[in-house]
Amino acid sequence: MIPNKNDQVLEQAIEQYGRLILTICNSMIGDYFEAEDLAQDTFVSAYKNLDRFDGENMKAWLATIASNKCRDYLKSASRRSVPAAQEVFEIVPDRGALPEETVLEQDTEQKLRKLCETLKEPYRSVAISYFCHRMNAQEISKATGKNLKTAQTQIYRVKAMMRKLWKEEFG
Amino acid sequence: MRTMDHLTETRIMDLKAGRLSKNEKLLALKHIGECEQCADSFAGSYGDLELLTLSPDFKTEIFFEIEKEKKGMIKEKAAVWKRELCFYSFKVSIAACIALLLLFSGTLDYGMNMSRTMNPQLSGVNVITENLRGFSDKLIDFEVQKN
Repeated sequence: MIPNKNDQVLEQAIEQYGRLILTICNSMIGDYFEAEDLAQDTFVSAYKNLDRFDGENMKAWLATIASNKCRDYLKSASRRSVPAAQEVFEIVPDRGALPEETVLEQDTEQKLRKLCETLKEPYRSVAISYFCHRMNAQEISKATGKNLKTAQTQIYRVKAMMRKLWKEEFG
Repeated sequence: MRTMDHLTETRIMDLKAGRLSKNEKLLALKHIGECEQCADSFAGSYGDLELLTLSPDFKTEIFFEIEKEKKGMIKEKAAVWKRELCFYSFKVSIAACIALLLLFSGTLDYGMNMSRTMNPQLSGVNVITENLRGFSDKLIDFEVQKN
């Protein structure tokens, strides 16, 4: 299927601002997996409302959508009383030498790695490949010699397990 | 804090660092959701170093979701179209029944000096037909007398 103009605009927006929107959602919500859902929702909403975008500032426009998504999420669920980022500073013992802006990112990555380590094989190696080395199903299948379908199924299961573990561990 | 006051840099940093109460956070997010200027400042406050890495399927899942919604919309449209078609068919059927009823009741034969080939036992309809005939006869008589 030939991608239409809106598909191309969305793809470009994801390439350019996907990480930013995910980080915004993560820092507001404090749950990596929920943040990922919200970030994806943000882009889906942006796609549906592309005709309302004035073409001026895509970054700001996406940030307004993400903020509304985060606000709705926070309002709809009774979340932890300690804000996510604040908790991060309490966990990290010495952040003096570390620039403040890298703390959140590193902490989330560390949390993900920690959760990956708790899984049993073969899920542990799949989780590490997916969440830490950012390998997709095809790459995992190639690297491990597994069938692509098997890799896809294992990723699907790993994601479900990690989501649950995150809630139990940090939620 | 009123929602239309622009967020200061300190406020944005406090929001990012989680130093606001839940209500303050919701208010700040509400403002950012409405104010592109503050949204730009908020988005700009995130440096490259702190950005999270996207999962390998991040983009694929978004397009999958969009495709799913598109298919859902097409199905919904088809369902609406089917409903409208059923309703239209129902209306046409009713109209056809009424037309057949009128045709075979003999109402339309009046004044055409035609012999009826069929004479169904539609007593209710016949009563109405007779009443209408009587009424129209009276009208004709009235018109004749008047002129």
